[in-house]
Amino acid sequence: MQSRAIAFSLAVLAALTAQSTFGHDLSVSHGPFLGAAFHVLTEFDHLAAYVCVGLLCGVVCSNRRPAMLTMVLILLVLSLAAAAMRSVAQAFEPMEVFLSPLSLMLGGSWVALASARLPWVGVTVAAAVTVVHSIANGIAIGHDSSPTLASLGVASAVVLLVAAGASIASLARSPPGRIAVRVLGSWVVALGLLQLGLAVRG
Amino acid sequence: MIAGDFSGGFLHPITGLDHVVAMVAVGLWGAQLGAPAIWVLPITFPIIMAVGSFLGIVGVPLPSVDLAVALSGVVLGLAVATSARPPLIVSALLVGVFGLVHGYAHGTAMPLSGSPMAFGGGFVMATGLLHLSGILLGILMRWPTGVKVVRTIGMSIVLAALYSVVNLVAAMS
Repeated sequence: MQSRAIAFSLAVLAALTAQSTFGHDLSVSHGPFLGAAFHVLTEFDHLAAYVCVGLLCGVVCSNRRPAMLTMVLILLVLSLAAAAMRSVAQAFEPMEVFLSPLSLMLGGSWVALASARLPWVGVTVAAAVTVVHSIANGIAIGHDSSPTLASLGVASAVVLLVAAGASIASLARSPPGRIAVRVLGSWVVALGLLQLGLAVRG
Repeated sequence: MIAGDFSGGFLHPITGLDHVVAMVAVGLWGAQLGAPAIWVLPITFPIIMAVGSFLGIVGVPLPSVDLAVALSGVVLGLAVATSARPPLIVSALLVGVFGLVHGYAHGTAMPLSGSPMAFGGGFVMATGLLHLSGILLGILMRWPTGVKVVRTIGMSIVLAALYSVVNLVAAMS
């Protein structure tokens, strides 16, 4: 069951990374719900952020299912709230270009540590990454004709990606799996640095 | 023309001989050194590589990057061929320095149109998978003959990297 969940998650992520150039085209042609969902699923920074959140859920909760489910639910509510608060989103817009990469670096670093110690720090990091990227999604869907449907689309995509990350984090039960999770964390840090470079360049 | 999306980024390290041999050597060397190097090196490299990419993207000048990239294969290949066992901090620093120049090369090649983040994700993943291939080759060291095979692979990496160095020097002169 666990290996099937991991395999499914990796297959979904592989398909999404291959489709990464099509986010904006899909949002135009597929309506508010699917368009918003595809925006999250195909924009590489959002994809990395929510998978990182899933990895954090697994690492922080030491893969204990009730704790992970609770954490995922809390983060889902946070993401919905942040995406729906469009007035807040507008205020954050100038800072978002730097907050997004910084959140990736922070989240990726905590995953690379792969430690269940200081769980509340891990939870706070996961919440920070979720809020920053959900605000970014709120900015993206702010001009949508159906913001409620778009917010639900964002939430659906968030659940999918966080669940994928959490199932991959279950690899950390074995020593090679722990290395793999740490390496994934370093990839997220690397993506954050790349995004920061693009933001600095302008 | 490099595609400005995930596939372009993924292919960038894989289609460069100097990148391939160096990345595989990092994984192989980590496997030779064992824990904790087997996870420290594959974590250090992409992070420092991204710092190098950052420098390349923002336009910080770095001299002789192509030569440094080619030389990285020579040095890392020698480390594998001789089963060098420096302290962890030395191996991490060495890998970090080479990660910086490889990342700089990827960063300067990053197309700013299309989907640069997807391009970046592509070369980060390709690099990680090349490391993994080196680590998996390191499994051969469970057998006495495998130890010799791995060191021979290291020497092959040195020769392939020297080929790149010679071509570069010839092109520069």
